[in-house]
Amino acid sequence: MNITQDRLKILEIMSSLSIDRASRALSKSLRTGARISLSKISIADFGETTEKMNEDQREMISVMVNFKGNEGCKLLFMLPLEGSLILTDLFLRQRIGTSKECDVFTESAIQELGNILASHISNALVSDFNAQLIPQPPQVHNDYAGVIFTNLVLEQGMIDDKLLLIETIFEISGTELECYLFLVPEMNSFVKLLDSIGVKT
Amino acid sequence: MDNTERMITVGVGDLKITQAPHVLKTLLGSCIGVVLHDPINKIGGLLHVMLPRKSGNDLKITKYANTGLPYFIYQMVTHTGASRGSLYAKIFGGAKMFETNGLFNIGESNELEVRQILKKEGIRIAASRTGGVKGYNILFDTETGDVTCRVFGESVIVY
Repeated sequence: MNITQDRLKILEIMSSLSIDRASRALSKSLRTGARISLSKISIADFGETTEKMNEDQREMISVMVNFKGNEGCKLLFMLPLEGSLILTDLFLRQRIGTSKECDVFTESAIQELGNILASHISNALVSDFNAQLIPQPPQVHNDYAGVIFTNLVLEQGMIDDKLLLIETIFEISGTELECYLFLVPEMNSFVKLLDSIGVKT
Repeated sequence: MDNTERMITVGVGDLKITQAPHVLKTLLGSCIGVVLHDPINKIGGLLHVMLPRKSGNDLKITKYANTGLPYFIYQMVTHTGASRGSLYAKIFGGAKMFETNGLFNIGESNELEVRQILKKEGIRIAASRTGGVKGYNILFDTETGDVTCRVFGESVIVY
């Protein structure tokens, strides 16, 4: 997998813009400040990245969204089971602490969050960069953090030892939610997109 | 050496070989975790198999059962001093993490390939826990050969 530093920089700007838009949309839906900021965009080693994620053995709930179209991409949001209860309360406009166990409401809240993130990220890339990304229905899973992450990157790992990984910091004001949000763009299609918008270096 | 220092995490498609008192740990979904243990020399390794068969030329061989497992056995015997005659295996994982509609089931294929190779290599499978639809959390103690396994949502079982 080869990509120049200049191209990575452009991808970083594109990711920041789209994540920022998703962050604002989520704040509106939750009626509280949701701040998602880009932490790192890198060509990561598959083995090292999965090893690091396998260190996190917490039980998580996650939503994964596949994007189809000219640009392939995957999005994963996950957080510990107890954190998902806070998120459910925020979506249902209840006092935090009202939800006591993971149920269909929790699953719906996570699914909705996946929809909001995916649709705003893809809208930003489509309108600003002429990308063609169509979010597919979100899939909710609960499992160990490392297992969920492996599901996200498995396909990429079948064809390469490296993966293009976008990591973020996800915070919701007034809470101590620890969340992961990853984007895994399909490298070749994004190189074509960069070509099409004139980034040739 | 405290507990944290004893623990070694294994990533997807990786191989780690160590000796007592180290503990190897990993998480498994559709992948298969193969542990090999030499109880006499207290040497053990964990291979995290991602796919059954290698098809390309440029990828890491430990990702695949058909290349990773023979390499694992070779490394155990020639580079760490494990005795081939005393080696035994334990296998875990191979869950069905994706809806496959009857097509290629990665977990099942991984397990099948691993079992066939171990049989061909004459290595006994002393214990196994495979299948299902949830992830596995395993800890392999190279001192005792015990594998502590917890399938997501279930209680801990020692194999």
